[in-house]
Amino acid sequence: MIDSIFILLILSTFRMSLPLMFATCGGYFSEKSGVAQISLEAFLLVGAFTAASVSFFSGTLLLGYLAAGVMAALFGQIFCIFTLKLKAHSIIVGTALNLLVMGLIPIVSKSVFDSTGSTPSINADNVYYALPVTILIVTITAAFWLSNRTIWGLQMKFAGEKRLALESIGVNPIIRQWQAVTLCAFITGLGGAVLSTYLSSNYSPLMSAGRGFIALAALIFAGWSLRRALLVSLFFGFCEALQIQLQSNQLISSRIPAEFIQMIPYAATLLALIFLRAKNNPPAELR
Amino acid sequence: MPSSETASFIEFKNISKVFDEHFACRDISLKIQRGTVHALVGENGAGKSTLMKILGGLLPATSGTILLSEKIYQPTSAQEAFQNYIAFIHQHFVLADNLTALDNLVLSSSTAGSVLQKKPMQQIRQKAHALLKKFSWTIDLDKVVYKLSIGQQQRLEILKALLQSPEIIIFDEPTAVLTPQEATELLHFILELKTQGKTIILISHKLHEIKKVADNISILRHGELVFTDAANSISVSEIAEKMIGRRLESHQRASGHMTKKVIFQWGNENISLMKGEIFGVAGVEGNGQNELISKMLNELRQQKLSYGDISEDRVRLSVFENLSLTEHMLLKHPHEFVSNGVIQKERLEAATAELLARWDVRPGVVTQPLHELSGGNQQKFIVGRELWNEPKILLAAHPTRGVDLGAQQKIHEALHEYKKLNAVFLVSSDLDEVIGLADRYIVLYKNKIFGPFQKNELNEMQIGLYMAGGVS
Repeated sequence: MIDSIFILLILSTFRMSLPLMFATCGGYFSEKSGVAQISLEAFLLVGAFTAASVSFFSGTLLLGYLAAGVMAALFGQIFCIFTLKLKAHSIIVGTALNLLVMGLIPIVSKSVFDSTGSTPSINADNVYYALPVTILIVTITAAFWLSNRTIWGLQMKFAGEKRLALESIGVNPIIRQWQAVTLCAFITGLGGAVLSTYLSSNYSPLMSAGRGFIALAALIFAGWSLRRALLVSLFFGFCEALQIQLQSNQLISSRIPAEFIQMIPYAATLLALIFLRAKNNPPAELR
Repeated sequence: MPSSETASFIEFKNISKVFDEHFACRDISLKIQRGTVHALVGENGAGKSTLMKILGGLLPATSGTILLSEKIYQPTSAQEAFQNYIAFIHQHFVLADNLTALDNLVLSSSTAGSVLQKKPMQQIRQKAHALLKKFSWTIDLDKVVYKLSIGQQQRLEILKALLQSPEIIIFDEPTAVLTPQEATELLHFILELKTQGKTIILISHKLHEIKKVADNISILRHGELVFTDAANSISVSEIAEKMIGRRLESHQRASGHMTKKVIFQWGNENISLMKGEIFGVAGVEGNGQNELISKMLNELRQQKLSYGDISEDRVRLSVFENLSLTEHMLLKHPHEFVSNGVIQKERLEAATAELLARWDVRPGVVTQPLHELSGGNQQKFIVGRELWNEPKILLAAHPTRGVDLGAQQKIHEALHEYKKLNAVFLVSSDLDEVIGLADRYIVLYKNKIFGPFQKNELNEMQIGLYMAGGVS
């Protein structure tokens, strides 16, 4: 009995960490290149909606994932145009995108499904555990390789640390930032696909439930290190899993109101940020 | 590379640079020979940095041409200067503090193309190690830059430039941030580069340094070239005179205003300040000066003595980049300019304007943000502000660091004037400054205090022994 709860908790932790890890991985690129990124939430939602719709019509989950990444990356171009080309403040643009998405998705949803709420359930015959996990492993491997082993990764980091050094070798930092933000949106979009095709079987409004911000918190808390940030996402995933397990436990849920249990992941985020002040060295030119 | 010849390697022809109707450089014609050390001196704002930025591709010239090996050279970017084997070693390092030394080197040899390739870590590491060995330097290439000492960071910056095997190396105030030993080492290094056939342009206002290493000297004043010739054809005092356009008086001054009236007695330390004296603290930097200053500040606050503070790092400690001069004035003297909770704007502006005029802070616009002033003018302003209400004790820590000769003299005069009224506590790693100004002084070595000694009690060699820990 105890054993099975324990195993359920571990499995659930991994499931719940998946979208967070995508968003963390995506956010890493944007933040590291010096572009403060608070619209991870928007990218997640765009990804989730796109994946649910495309998978619903095509019946292929993989296509749904791809479309989610691409659509989020396209959506990310709005962010790039405003912050990098028109020099608007990234936090303001990020806020605007988060709000924009809340209106945009219902409009599209209304015209496609004649409903502003949830999309219809995906009829994919088997929901593999393997698919999202494979995609995550590929993504994380690629992210580490890109940021630590390639010249692109180094130049991307210099865009966030010392623009002048980049300019003096004839590389435009804005181009690296643009690429980094696009990549960020793509990866985060994949995380959105996990939400709507793996953790559930359709898109429901605002299903990201603050995960974009939690991912950002993970990044900041981890001192902008990708490796540590992924571990932190795992911890936040655990808190979410714990919340679900506690709610489904009759003994506990009959005594503690559900709302309190549901607070666990958010409270954990807050507490982690307050008490576990990790080594904090943000990219020098993050703005 | 062309063979060495008598024709000049770099030739500036009638170079002018105009910023909003103001000439930063006016009609400068200058020749620099291959394989020499050419010093460029002048006060802050004399145009030497502007001229070098034009050579380094960071600024376009308004008019005039540059010839490089007798070919017209018009760089439009730092990169283009790079391709012409010109390296610019900036006073403020262009390094990413959060990344490793090696990553910084790898970046500087990367280009905009083929970016998905692997970083050439091993290759760069080997090249860097070869250079490090050649100059017998040690830098841990895997260390993050902010963990390196300032001297090491500068070497890294130099290494970065040398990896591209430049022919011309521009040093912008290279010794401004270094300890005396590091500075001496750097000067040796510059001579070594020269023996390897490199052409070096050295921007500096430390004239004794320049005399040691330069073959030729060019002096700029108010954007115009006032002298260019062999270094041995001119003396240090003549250089100074040409730089500022008037004679400099010698530092040595008689003490004599000293009274026996103690105005500050530091409880458990053997330090007391007397009215009318400059009390010096000599010693190589990093031997406890910072600790001594903060303890001193604490003590002053406890004893409720009014004091002015000319901090060591003016940008870090006493300056807020975006605030205007009047706001800086208000910050230091809040009570004088506020009545009934309202800022007395007119009084404040008048007092600030008067301060600017008295200290010759240029340009004298009171509403200007401080960061728009040149380093020397910032320093003059800070000194003026601290002395404005004639405090009992003036704490002067490295008051003339990074300041040109004219400003330096002005500050020294001020300290000297000031001591007639009250007392000055002068901390400086420049031994000449302490010997020249202080009536009594202590020497710091590894947080230990030696002294106080009277003026002329020890000679320079004896003080040097204390500074190096040779006397216990």
